Amino acid sequence: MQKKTKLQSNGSVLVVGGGLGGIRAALDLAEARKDVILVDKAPCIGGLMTQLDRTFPTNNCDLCTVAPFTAKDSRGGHLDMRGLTTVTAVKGKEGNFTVSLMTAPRFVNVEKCTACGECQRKYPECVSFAPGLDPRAPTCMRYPKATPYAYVIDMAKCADKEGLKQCCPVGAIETDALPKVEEAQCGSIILAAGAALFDPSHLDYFGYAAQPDVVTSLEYERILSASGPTGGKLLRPSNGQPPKKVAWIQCVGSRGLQKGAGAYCSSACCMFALKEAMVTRERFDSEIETTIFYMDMRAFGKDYEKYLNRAKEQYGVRLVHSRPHDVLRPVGMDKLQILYTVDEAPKHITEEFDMVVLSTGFKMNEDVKKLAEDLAVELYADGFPKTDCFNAVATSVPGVYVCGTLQGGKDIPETMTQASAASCLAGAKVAVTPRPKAELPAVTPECAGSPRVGVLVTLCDHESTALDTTALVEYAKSIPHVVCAAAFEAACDPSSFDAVKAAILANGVNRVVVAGSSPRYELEKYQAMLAPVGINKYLIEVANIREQAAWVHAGEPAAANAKAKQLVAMAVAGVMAAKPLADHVVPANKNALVVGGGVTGMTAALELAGQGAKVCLVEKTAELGGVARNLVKTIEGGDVQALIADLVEKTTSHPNIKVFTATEIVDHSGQVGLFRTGLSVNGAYKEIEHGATILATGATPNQPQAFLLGENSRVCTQLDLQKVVNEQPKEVKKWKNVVMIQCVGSRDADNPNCSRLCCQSSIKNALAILKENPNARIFVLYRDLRTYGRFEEYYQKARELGVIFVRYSVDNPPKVEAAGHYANVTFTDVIMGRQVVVSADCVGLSTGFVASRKSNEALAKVFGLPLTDDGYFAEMHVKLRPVDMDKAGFFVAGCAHSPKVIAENLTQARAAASRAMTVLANDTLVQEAKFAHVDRARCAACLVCVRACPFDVPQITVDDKGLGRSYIDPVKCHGCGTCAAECPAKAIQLNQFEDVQILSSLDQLLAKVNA
Amino acid sequence: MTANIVSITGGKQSAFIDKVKEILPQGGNLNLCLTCGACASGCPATGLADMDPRKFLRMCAMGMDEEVTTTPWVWMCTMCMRCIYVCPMEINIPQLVFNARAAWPRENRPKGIRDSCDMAMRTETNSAMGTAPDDFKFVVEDVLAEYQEAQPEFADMQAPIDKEGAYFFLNQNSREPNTEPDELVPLWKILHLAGADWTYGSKGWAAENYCLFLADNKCWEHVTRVSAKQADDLGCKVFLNTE
Amino acid sequence: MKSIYEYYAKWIREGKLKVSSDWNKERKVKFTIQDPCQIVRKTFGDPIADDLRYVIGKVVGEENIIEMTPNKSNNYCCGGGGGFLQSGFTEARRAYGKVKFDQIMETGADYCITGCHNCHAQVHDIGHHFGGHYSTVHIWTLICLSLGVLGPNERAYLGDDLKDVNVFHPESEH
Repeated sequence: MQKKTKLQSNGSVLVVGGGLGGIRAALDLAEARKDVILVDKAPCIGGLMTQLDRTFPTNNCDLCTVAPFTAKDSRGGHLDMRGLTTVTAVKGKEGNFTVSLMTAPRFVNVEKCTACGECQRKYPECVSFAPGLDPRAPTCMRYPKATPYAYVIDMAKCADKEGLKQCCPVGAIETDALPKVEEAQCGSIILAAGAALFDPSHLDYFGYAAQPDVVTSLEYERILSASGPTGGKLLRPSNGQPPKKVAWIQCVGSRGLQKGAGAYCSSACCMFALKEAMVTRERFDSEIETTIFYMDMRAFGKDYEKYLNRAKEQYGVRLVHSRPHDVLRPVGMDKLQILYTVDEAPKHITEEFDMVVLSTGFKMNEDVKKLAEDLAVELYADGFPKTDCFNAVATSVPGVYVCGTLQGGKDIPETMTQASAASCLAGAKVAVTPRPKAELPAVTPECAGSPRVGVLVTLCDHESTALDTTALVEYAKSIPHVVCAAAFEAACDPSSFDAVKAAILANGVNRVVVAGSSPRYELEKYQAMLAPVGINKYLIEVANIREQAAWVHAGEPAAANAKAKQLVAMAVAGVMAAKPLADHVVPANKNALVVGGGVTGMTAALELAGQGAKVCLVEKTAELGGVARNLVKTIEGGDVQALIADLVEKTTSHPNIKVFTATEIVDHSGQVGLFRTGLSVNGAYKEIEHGATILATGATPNQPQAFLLGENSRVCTQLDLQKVVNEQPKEVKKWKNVVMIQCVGSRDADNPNCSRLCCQSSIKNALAILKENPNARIFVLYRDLRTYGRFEEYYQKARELGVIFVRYSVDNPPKVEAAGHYANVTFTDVIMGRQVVVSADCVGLSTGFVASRKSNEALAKVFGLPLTDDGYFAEMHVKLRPVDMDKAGFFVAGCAHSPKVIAENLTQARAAASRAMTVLANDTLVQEAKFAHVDRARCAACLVCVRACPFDVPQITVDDKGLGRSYIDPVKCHGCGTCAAECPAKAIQLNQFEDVQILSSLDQLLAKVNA
Repeated sequence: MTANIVSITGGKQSAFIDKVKEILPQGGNLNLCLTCGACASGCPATGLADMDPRKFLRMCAMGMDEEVTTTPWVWMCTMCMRCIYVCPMEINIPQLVFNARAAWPRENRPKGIRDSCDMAMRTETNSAMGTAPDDFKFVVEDVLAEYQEAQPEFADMQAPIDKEGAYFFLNQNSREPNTEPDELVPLWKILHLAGADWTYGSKGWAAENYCLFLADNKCWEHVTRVSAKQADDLGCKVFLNTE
Repeated sequence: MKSIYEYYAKWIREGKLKVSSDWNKERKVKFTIQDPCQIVRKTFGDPIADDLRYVIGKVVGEENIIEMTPNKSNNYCCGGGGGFLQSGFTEARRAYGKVKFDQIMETGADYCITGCHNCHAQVHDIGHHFGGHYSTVHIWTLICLSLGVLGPNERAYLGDDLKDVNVFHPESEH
């Protein structure tokens, strides 16, 4: 029955699961020119993220941000994507796995299908656009821009096979298709198949099974989504009316010991709920009251605390520290009642809500668990895989790696980081596969011809509510030289792309204006899409009518529409004046610079060196190891000193790594693939060349002036406390009472963010104290206990052993006073309504980390990189590009990005290495044509440009006529435009931003004023 | 407020909660409280005596033994288990309350409950109203005879006591034989029509167990054993709870 | 150890107890159900609560049951358990029972069916104390009523509306 074939392309890495993590891992490998097979049991890739409406902390839809990831574009032929495919068997071991893949029939020939939707219209009962709320139908498209873009049919559910077959105008429906079985060889395997979500149906007290208005957070997300069951309208499932009050209940299926809950924290739900509450008020109705019932608000990620504050202060999201007992709807009542209590008094509160969202956590997926068991991967009792305490993506089986929610509940940035880390380790085992590069059409003056401009308005429904796209299209048509204009509803929809191409060819368009969102998202996508139809990439202009019109003029449709028209007119004028340009191709440098010799930097260096890159590792101090040298053990028991010793040994002895200690970065120039960096090595200048740079400069342990720190010998930081426990166990045995205070110098005005690692570190120290001295009484005073993920189990362990955790409010902090031999700590236990005074033998302050602001600022200046408000290095996209930096070829890892525990730092180090390898794998470098050029006839060699250039690129060179003129090396030029602006003779023009283009745009804008 | 300050100094002393932990499986999870408030949100006794389950557990955890073993709240909690039903940590607060009741000197425990227990201890019937075996037998036979005669359809109806080998061993709340014997009859009729093979025990028929409520471990165990033994001695298969 | 509810349901399913709710077809007397914590949440869970509802549905007509919210395993204790009735804390016991009273009143039912003596006494008492209009009745009384075998002296807890319904041997009243 089944055909069994040997797979033609012998994939080198198998990635199981096509969610965001799987996609990231596969793309990293493909970009590093390694062969990869990506399989997913669903018909199309995209995973859970594509069901989300918007994601935190940007509160954007972000579908279009993923679109270039998943749309069919050039991946150099390294990536083989297979939908509807499962792994049925795995044999062999690291370096030589043989996997059996079974691809279920799609019953639709993807090559023939035009996605016309006829089958869907003929069999409407069979079609669903709303996974999560509607039952899946036989013909199912999961989300608007599914890749591969084709329908899929569940033949078991189809009653009229012949009718279905006949309805397709191109004969793409193949009702007799059979499953395909193939075998593939691979060197390593990445499991990225995600997790299941907790099903709360059996929790009668939350009413999920009985009450339509009680939904899970994912269902709520679908309700908010433009592609959801209500078409993006927020309506109560029970009666179709908009809700006035919505509540969230946290930790449903997480942090529990009964009724099927996981003992772990799912890590993402708090942020998820905050986002849903904010979006509810921001996008639907600012009058909707939003309340989150929580146990601890776990906003532990980078800048998440600020997001939490924004939710409270700016958006008025109400947070109630309480886990409700019931969600009820008495017979005959229209609303839901939540029964809860507050900390301050023993009393019942009953409050009415229109909708209740259960923040359901992650569970191990049973299918995935089975596959992991087949691979003999060791699992925890809850089914999630056990991973190494210093390597969160390595399973117990060599060559098998995990990432994303399959490894444990987490949010998107952490998933992306783990995915890159897994790809780093999996890719280290396989060789680069050479593939020829696709030829681009040559750039000729004919590319331009007489200007025929096409205007494409591409906005999502839910982003353009304020904009009248029809009127905008009509207006665009009226602009001279515009030969066609059209609106495409979903910019992320590949069928829109096809329609766009058709319109361009039909109208002989040679210049394009895209009226949509930011050029950062749109430009590259449209450049890639329009190149095959002969549009030069520099003849495309983007009018950002989303941010600059719809968003800034939210609630003022007249102003928004007027602005959108102006922006389009300006873009048309600009593109008319643009010239076709060709990119430069130059040989690339394949070495790396790693800045920072802590555990993060050394790990990154070793991973790169292991993959053949030559690495310069620069450390400011005289010694490798960084802040981790102060640590004894991780909470899991990992020996940090042994780790450091091992890393130092390997780093210093690796033939591909050159270590420079006592070294500072002094200057820097060039661009990705061609960097030059000047070092001061023990005071001596040295220049190195490199293609990519990883920043792993760490952060600084905080020493705030608080709670008698530095004044009273009983008071110390957690780092000090750890040392005492390790070095003076006799002293610890004498202790009777210990108090720890959390969030000292974090989450306050001076340092607004959460330091993330302090909660687990105080628990680690508490457990260590109890090991020495089981009779010690330990009190941990906290604001929100943020033991995310498996740290929750250590929190549980600490409670089990008698550690008492007491919440304090920021308005009523504890007091520490010297009291002879002791330090007296006074605090309020709100639940008892009593003050408590503890005579403490030791007071441990969780002081966390602050950015190494001074040195970061210096480095940021040399490298030209942005920092966050609190002085950490800023990544390119907090959600989807967590280790990439704004400047191409730069990556960030470890505490330089934000504070985190060692294992997470090492994961980021590996992720950064993986990302860097995507750069270093290239022998050549395509340089954008955006560089400055000098009209030597006009140049007076006045040196203004030489002085103005922030990168010291312009030089006065002598030409064959013996005249000294300015010369700008296109390879070195950053395209910043400073010289062009400064040049008094207007001899310098910046390609793509020539004066004529800008002036044309401005003339258009000011036409009426001038007239 | 000063009087209310909890002062923690010196070494750890064994507290009431530690003793309870020792006798419960997994220590009743008593240490695991997350102070989330789910119990207090749904406890019908929240607010009585200015207490709720979370606060009670918290005071136990803080070692405030004096207060937790004297608050009358433990007699206002019915140990209905709504708390543990939703508690994320499945903390056995009802057992903590039970043991707090047990920590009261017996003579200080509520008189009504104590008297009922004492009464049950005085007779093998376990009746909290002190009904003796013979009195029960008399009432049952008398009522049965009356109904057999007055309602001839039920002339064959039986209400056996100590019938060897009966399938069901029934218990019966003392209230019916003592104060409203006519209320016994509907149950008998149902059993008769269903053709059930059942019996009461002359010993241990009473369904109530106030010694349990009194948290008098010795007594409630005694009372329970009397019932169980009678059912076993008679060779009954199923102990049928009629409550 | 078994609960008799399970057997009531079994005997009705097996046809041994030929109950009928016809008596209530026209009358439409409404009933609500107090799930005893001891039997439902603390011992047998929702399956026994479902048995109880099956029995009551057959006896009074399913359409005449109005549920309290919440119910079954998540029901509220009425306050009769744990010895509260005998503890002497009468005021507290009634305060405790107020929630249950409100739940019963909210259903608008004429009767609250209880299966357990503690519940019966407490539900009866709070009904009286807070001025409720409902009656509190044992399940066995209704089974016999629906079987047509409930004599005149077995009706102590029926309200006036049901005192004369299907009386078995009315002449035996004493």
